[in-house]
Amino acid sequence: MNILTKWLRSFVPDIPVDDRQLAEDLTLRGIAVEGIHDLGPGNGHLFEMDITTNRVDAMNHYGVAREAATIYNLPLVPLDTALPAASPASQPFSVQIAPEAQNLCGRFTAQVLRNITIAPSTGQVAEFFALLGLKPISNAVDATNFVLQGMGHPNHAYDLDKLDGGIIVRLARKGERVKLLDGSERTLEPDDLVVADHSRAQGLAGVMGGWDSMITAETKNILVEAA
Amino acid sequence: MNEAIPQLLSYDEPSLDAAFATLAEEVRSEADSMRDAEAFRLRWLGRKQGRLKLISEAWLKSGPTDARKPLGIRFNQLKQQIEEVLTSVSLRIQKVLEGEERVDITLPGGVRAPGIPHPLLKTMNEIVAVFHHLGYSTALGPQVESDFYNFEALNFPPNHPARDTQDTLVLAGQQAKPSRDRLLMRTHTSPVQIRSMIASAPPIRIVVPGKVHRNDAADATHSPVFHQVEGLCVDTNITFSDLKGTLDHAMKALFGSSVKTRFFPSFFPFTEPSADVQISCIFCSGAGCRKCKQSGWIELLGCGMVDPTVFASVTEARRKLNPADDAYNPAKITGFAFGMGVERIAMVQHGISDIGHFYSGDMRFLEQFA
Repeated sequence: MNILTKWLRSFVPDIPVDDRQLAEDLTLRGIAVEGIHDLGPGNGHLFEMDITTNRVDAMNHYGVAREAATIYNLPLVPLDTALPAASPASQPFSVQIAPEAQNLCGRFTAQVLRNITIAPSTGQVAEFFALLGLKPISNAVDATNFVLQGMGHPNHAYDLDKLDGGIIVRLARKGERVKLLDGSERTLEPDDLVVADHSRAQGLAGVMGGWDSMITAETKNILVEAA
Repeated sequence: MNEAIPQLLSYDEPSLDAAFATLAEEVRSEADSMRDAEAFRLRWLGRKQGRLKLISEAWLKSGPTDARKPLGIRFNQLKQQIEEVLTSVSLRIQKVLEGEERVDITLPGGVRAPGIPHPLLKTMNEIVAVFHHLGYSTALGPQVESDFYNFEALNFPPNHPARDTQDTLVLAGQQAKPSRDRLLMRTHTSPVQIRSMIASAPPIRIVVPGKVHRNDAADATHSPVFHQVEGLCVDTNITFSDLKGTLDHAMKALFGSSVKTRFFPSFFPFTEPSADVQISCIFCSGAGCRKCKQSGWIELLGCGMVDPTVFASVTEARRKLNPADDAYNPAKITGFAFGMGVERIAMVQHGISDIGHFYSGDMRFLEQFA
């Protein structure tokens, strides 16, 4: 995966060394930087990371920042997790975790956003995506990927109006089919965990969202999931 | 030489005898002066324009039907005579040639290029030799492995994400078997560690050269089939210092005594702690260049102290044969293991930028290693 030093330094503003030395120090602590690419004045560097599977916690910008903060004994800027005040829904949206999935999905959180406008991303999201070489899709989709790149937490945005009833996290039925965001049609096994609505699977939990409920230019209401 | 077709005026027996005697005489007289056996054969026995063919056609066409049989018999006899003459002429010509064209012993001899070891084999043997000098012996294992040896005993549990890093090629038709018995192409030489430990008690010092397989698309640095050299040392009182000393020596032996090594934390399921080993870039001596991605260091191998979980898997397998076995009790013994890619080391040694050269069979490439 790739890490932007500009983004990284926004979490640990006072790192006392330059990017090259930072890469060296991270590498010697087991967060291996395999390559360093100069992104031009003011943009810092792009680190090509090779992070081993025992360090999943460091497979995102905040995780690498946490490591850097430890190396230089500096405070880590807390994440701003405050949400705008929400009004209670007139009809509550139902989210259930099926009994057989309790051990596989410890927590499922979601937020409904209504009357939104799908448009291209702007500001920091657009800037960081361009530097990382990620393809921007739309503000809603980019926001979920921004969280994934920044904090390492898988999350997903559904088109609320295309979901039937509510969300059920459950195990797939043998032979159940789901079309994923990459356009591939998958046949599932009974040990696959899916996020489903009341009629069918809408995505592979923690892996990839489903095609049928994906965000389009016409989307008006969305459900944002972090589980 | 007489090219005309002789006329046959009469078809009675004495005339035929005389005519064929004339022809036989003609053959013998030409043979005496003939220098080229092939020209002689063509002139007389050629399938289309041979003299025998032309004469037999002319005589058979102009003769009466009942003369065909005696004519045929005589032509066959004449053919045999010509063939006998031809054999003796060839022998005579050969003798003449041998007399004239002697071997010129002052000419340089014909040079046949001697075979050489493939550059990969050469590098592999060099690496193995370094460890042989340290008292290691070679161990080998099969390329088709079971899931148990390639993964499970090496602390890759089923469905563990670390398996994803191995891009495994599995054999077809294995689904009916229990997971640990399923066959696959080994993705590293590490299964030989398990095989060796199950087969014999410590102390162990082995070096394992071999071919491994991964489902990687071929590019400048990847090949679906490549080579590794693995090492394993298990004994009482083996420490990380032993590992560092051993590998530092090996890198200096392979790349020259000015090479520096450094170890930094890494992760392999079968070693804890694990480390990656880098050597100072031999192209820029650490200043930073394209070859070392501007870092000054080249990553060459992985290593670590054998994870106690691996000893537990080995003990479990050994106890199937001897329930009291305690040879690999992690409280009493420790060990280290390391593994390196032969292609990678050969590429660094010779400054080769594309791994594909090793498999192309291009003589212009291979001859440089003679």
